[in-house]
Amino acid sequence: MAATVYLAFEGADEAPARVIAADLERNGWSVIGGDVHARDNVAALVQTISEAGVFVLVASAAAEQSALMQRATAAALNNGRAVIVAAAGPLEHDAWIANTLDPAGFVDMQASAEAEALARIAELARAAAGRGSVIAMLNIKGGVGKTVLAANLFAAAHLADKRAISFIDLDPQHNLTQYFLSPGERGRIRDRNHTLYGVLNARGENAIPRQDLGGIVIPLNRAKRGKHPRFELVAGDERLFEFTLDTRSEKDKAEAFQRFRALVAALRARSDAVIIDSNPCATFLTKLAITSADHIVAPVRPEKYSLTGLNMLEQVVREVRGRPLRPEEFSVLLNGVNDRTRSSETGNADALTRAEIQNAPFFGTALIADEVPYSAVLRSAPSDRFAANPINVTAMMRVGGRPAKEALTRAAAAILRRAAP
Amino acid sequence: MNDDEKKFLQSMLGKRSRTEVKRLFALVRAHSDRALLAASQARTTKAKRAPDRLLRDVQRALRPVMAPAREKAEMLVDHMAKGRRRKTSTAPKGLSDALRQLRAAHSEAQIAAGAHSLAARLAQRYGDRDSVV
Repeated sequence: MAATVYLAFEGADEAPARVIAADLERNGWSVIGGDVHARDNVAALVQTISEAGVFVLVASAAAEQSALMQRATAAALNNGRAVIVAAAGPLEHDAWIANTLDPAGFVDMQASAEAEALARIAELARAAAGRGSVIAMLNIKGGVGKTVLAANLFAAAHLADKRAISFIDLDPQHNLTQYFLSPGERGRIRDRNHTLYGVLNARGENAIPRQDLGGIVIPLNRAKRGKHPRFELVAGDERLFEFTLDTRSEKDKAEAFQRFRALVAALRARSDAVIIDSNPCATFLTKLAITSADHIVAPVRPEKYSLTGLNMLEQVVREVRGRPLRPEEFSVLLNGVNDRTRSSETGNADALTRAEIQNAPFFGTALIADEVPYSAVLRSAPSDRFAANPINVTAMMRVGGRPAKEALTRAAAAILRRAAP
Repeated sequence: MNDDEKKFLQSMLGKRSRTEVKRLFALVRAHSDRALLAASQARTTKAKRAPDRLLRDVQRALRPVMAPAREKAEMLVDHMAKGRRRKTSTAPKGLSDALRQLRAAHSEAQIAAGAHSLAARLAQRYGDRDSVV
């Protein structure tokens, strides 16, 4: 997937498109796509775009007029593909291309020498392919353990397998931020406006300049000794509610979408995995998570309504991406498995849930064999204890709970294997 | 007695005098193996170390801090070194190692006070549980 480029162009731009395709193939890429009008089935077009690693759009006046080209670009964006724009002609400032994508990142094929522009396109494609995976923790139902599992699974991957991890707290309840940081630290970060709210806001005093997006991350492993790979967080705050209540204009949301993609691109360039902790329900924030993610992890508790949330999640992802979810893009992780849930009245809830998922045609192949047992070290109970180094709050750094720690390490490794490009 | 047995006896008795050897044989005839073994084994139990009260005090003061002992030790050494020109060059391996380093420059009362003030400073910066308004 990663070595494939989808090249989209209008019939009028065939000449520059052929030059770009030849240069990409010379650089080892396999180029698919072509004149978007040549495909009469939009569903097949979306499917093909989703299977490519990078989407290259040949932009021109003809492309600006094309509704199908707009649809193809939307499919690339909704499926989390890196989009490279090669401007083959002058573009309007208020056309859909300039409004949907960041003009600062366009490769102008007219202003610069052809060889220089082609080298820039090849460089952008290489940068987009050589990167970590983006994993979204998602379930439409709340309380299944998305946040605590995100923190602990990937702390295990960081500590046991030395993986560089970047978290993004996309939940307005910002429980992941609260899990790692004390109220005092959160207050200081919020005062400096170094939270996701500043990223999603393009205007106003709370907006963070686009070039500073990668600089707002907070290190979560501050141990002095030894060299540690990155373990960091883009904190959330309660003001993210504005993006779930539909009080923001469509223009604000479009800008937030672009800026979120820029943040994810900056983080994935330097980490093995970018973990997005999403909110339950289906909102604009959920859409951001789904469109950016290469892989979705859905934690499920052995209970009835958890499975309903799983079915809804599949529908929501299909709606956002415009195509059915492929089983390899998805993992289901059984969380809180506990022998005590077995009783003469209810039967064995763990076994029932496991069998229900395994026998489902879609979810069966996505179920991870390593389950997370119910454990005291995974409880986020109130405590009088505190940590100067945030990673010390994770189960992996606390005393006891060996079965849970081993299960977390195995499950994290399995997820990262499945999410690898 | 065969040659092997003779050799074994000579190697065990070494160059002891005839009187010593005769006394040993008499002892062996008079007592059981168990009594002889029990009497011959020297007491190997070491004298119990006096408990390090300072270590216990420091551990108790830093208990609310969630961190491995090595990190707590580093924080304590750094905290005690604040305002001093000369700083320790080697990082402590644990709390007892940190106390060994600190005892060279501070009194026990100063170290105990340092641990309590470190805990208070960390609680002020990283503590404060979420409360309900």
